[in-house]
Amino acid sequence: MNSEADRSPSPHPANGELAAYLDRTLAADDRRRIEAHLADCDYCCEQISVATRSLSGLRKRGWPRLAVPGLAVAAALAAFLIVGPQLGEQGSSDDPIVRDGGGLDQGAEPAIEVIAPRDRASLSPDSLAFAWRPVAEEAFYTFTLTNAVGDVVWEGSTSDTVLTLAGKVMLEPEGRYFWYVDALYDGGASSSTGVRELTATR
Amino acid sequence: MQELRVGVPHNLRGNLTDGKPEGMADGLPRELSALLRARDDVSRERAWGRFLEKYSRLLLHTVRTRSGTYDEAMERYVFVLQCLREEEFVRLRRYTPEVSARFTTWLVVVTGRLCIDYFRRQYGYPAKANGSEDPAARERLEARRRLADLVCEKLEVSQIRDRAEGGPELKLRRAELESALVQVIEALPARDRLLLRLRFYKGLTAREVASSMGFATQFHVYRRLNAVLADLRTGLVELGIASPRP
Repeated sequence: MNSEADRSPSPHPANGELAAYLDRTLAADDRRRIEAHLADCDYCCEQISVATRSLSGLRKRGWPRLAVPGLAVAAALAAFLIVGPQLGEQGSSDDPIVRDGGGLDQGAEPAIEVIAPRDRASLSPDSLAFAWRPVAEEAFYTFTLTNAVGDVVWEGSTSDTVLTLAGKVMLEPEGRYFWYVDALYDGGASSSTGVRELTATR
Repeated sequence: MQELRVGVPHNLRGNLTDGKPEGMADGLPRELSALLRARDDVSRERAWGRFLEKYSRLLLHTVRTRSGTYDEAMERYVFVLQCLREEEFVRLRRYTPEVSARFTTWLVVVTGRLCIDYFRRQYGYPAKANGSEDPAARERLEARRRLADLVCEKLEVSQIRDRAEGGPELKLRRAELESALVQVIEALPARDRLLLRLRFYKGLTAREVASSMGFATQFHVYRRLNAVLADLRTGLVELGIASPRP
């Protein structure tokens, strides 16, 4: 027996594409193409609805077992290496990451430009100040600081484009940390600075 | 040693992960890999048993997500298992490392699709919406009417809750309203149409819509819905639909 999905050629997205849409791992163009199809196709929209409800229910029941976030991020960070010649005052800001998988990125909005600190800066606990350029009039920003294994050290939201953590968080001397800012726009779209690195000095 | 930038994987936030981090050389979840690599009937059955040990709960949960009695859900479950086993697990073989989604998500999508197909085989494909015999068509009409009510609240449209009541003229006005609503909905961007479809026609909660469409929170869904509904009202007014009153 073949399901409707197995007939080819088919105008419907493949199961893998729909799953990638739900996991938010599609590129922005692909996501828009899928959404354009879903907006007009009851069959695929029903499929997405069923899958969404099912996944939501499964997660409430704690299934599948979550990989320990820290370990997953540690594995991810082990692969996060920087091109040597690219190091400099601008750090790695030439390619700020607009993520799909975190659920916030819509791909259509520009990335957030960081003013300070530069990527891989060394900061003292007294000078933990972050600044970025505004991306939209009514954007709302979330700031996240994690340690090297991905544990969130500090997280907060602001409508401002400057954030000071001096006195708010204890950092390990010479510890390696990662931070990023996500902008949330009216309408639900978002963009990001991408993940940036800093080292805490003594 | 020169280091190369490879970017940050999407699951940096610690989203659900399964399958791919299992460390199989072929990039597949362990149970799936063992099943697809089994060479004889005995090892295949053993591998299938292990696969079901791991994923039957997911399959059962998905088939039960659709409405129906317990027996109907079990019938769907059996159907799904049969389909997954067909032609030496040809459907499961379509999950490859190139698929960028998690295996569990992919399996839920496949199972959901099989359930929809099972339902359509049993009850036929939905007819064009005529509001009379087809339950799916009636559901769509009701959803459209709920949306029309919501859109027209602020237009001070009289609240026609009982559609059996009201004279012919009111019913005609109602039909005009719903026709105009279809027109303005079709003029919306695809993403907004999808938002309306999931929220009003499929009945997903705002949280589920946020999860499905990638909104940051359910509050962003509400905010966008308000904006879309305002656009719809504007569109209706431009079409001359402000009130069903004569």
